[in-house]
Amino acid sequence: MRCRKCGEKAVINMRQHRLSLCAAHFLEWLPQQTERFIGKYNMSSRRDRILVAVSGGKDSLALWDILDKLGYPSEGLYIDLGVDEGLAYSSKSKESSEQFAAERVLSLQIVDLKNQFGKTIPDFTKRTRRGRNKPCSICGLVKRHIMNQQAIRGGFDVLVTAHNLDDEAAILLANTLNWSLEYLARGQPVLPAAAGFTRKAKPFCRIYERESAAYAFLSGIQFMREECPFSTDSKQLFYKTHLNEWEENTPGTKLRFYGNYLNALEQGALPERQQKSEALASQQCPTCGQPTITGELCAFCRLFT
Amino acid sequence: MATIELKNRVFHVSANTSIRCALLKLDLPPHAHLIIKDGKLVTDDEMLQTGDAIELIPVISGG
Repeated sequence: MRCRKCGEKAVINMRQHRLSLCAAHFLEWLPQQTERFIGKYNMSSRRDRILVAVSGGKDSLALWDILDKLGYPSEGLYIDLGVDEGLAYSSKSKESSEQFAAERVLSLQIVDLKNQFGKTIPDFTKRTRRGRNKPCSICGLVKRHIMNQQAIRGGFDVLVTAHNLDDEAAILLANTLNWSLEYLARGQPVLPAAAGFTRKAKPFCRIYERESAAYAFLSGIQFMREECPFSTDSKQLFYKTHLNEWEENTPGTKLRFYGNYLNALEQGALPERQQKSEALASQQCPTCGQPTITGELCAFCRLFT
Repeated sequence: MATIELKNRVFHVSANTSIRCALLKLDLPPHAHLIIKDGKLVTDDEMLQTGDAIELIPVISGG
């Protein structure tokens, strides 16, 4: 297979785009695509201070690398969730993030859950009703809370996560199967800032997970290859597996599924619910000050009661 | 014969077939993996030669 641009040997064939590229042209192409989506969805400008949530994995480090190369001023945020399970998972992922930042002279904040809050994700899973047997649910809640908190406290203009097309398509599939209308209304690539909530953007929302993995590999990024030990039975993996079967059969399935959903949102398919969540969360948690619906403890602070 | 390695599992496959065919026979979707040969990323239409050692890097993460 040959590179469409130069005729050299291709290293990646993207059937969904009918495009094969050599390493050099792919490493140009992905940042161009990322820049295109940042502009298309008004995610950020080069005047913004960007906080990038990194996990040490291929997507977040690939994204941070691209943002840096494109000239977007950014700092990283790594949250040490304290997941070990005999694999030293959090230790290794933290090391990947630190090494990445050090090699590029980028600033990386680290929030250590155990040191700062006295508990790890496994602790929450064992000891709280919400977390029992549902580590992903707790993990998501904790990460969202801390990311928002750090972005607000640090005065960042936008919080960026490396959710890719595979992630977004899996979430969309789950929300569609359950007709979770409120979540379906909030699937935009950019969520504007609201009282107590930072602006959030997903520059990789239309980038295939395989594309970001290829970028990380070809760029020589030393990313964490092990999966979170709690993720093996996750629903997200289940949805992704099935989406990939359809993608293998009909290339472009995920892109059309997600892309047409965004078009439907833009055309007002779910207009009245788009601001509902932020409007409801108009009070402040008495402990941490973050937005909450009831004016009592927020969901994160309730984990400690 | 050639080998395909994925997460410490090694599969022995016939040579003179494309990597794509070999993966599909193993029920491993090519789309869900990076295909590495001699440390380099290759496309799935590459033909397997006797003695080739292919490494697969799964790209789909669960969280």
